[in-house]
Amino acid sequence: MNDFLAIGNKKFKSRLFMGTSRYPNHQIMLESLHAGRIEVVTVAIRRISLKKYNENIIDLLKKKYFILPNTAGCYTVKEAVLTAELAREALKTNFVKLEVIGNDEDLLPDVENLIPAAKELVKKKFIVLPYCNDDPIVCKKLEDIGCSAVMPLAAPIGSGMGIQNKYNLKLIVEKANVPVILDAGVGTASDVAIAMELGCDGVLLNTAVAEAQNPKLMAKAMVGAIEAGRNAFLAGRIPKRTFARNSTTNKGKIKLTKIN
Amino acid sequence: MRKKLIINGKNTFVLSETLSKVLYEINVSRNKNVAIAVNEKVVEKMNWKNYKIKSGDIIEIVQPLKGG
Repeated sequence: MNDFLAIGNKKFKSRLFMGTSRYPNHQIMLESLHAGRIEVVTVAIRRISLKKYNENIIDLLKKKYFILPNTAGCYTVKEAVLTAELAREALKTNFVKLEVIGNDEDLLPDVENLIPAAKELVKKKFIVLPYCNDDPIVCKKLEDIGCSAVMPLAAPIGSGMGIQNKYNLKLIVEKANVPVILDAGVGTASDVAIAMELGCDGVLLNTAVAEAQNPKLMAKAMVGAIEAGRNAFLAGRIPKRTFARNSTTNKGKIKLTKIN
Repeated sequence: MRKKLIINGKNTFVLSETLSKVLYEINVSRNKNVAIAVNEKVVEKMNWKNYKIKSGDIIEIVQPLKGG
């Protein structure tokens, strides 16, 4: 089946995107990416150390993976735009996962700054994938200003609480004309399956795999959930009913006759 | 002449005239994924050689790191 996820000018076979942070070590990260059949990985852009040697994680990743830089930790439009521009220079990619957050406690998106930052980056020819609230109106606005996908959160980053508002997520999916990638807050495989059953085009996660007791096995579980959920969505589920309906006919059923 | 720069948030004194030479002078490890902004504007790698540094410049030197 030719079931590709198209974002900007790229087509991805894998619908599971994974972060590269918080793994016990590089080896486990690489094994987990492999087990999750990952194509897209995210990286951050940070100051290099002026004192010690700076390892280059890109050397580990560039051969096998499509690298999506993020603007994690940015609070203002200016910070986010400059970080995206530095990412473009460092990685020679127009893709950016745009994060503009409100504070460092709940790491929730700051929409008032997110939208102008997205606008400016679209103007500068970036392929913008904004991390945003699970708000159908915000997602629609981001699409209208030219974002190439929207990435509503399931729950706060790293919380592992899973999808908090299925109804909103469904509305976002129904209204969107760009891919919807569930981002942040995934805890386990069922969260991923639910997102895909609701019609999300993909899921981006990190901590749920990196901090699992067995990251590699959890990555395998996550990609299994992507596949199960995607297939269930494409297959078309039955509507929910509030009453029972037998699946076996009553016709031909034995009838006991009173013996006395 | 000695110039005072702010590199990655730290006051740094250099003698070099160009961005390229500053990198050598402060001896930071470089790789091809390093990117630089001077006074909030990205300076493309091909221009490092000719980019003239002046006292008071604010320089950000970054690279990709693990992230979610």
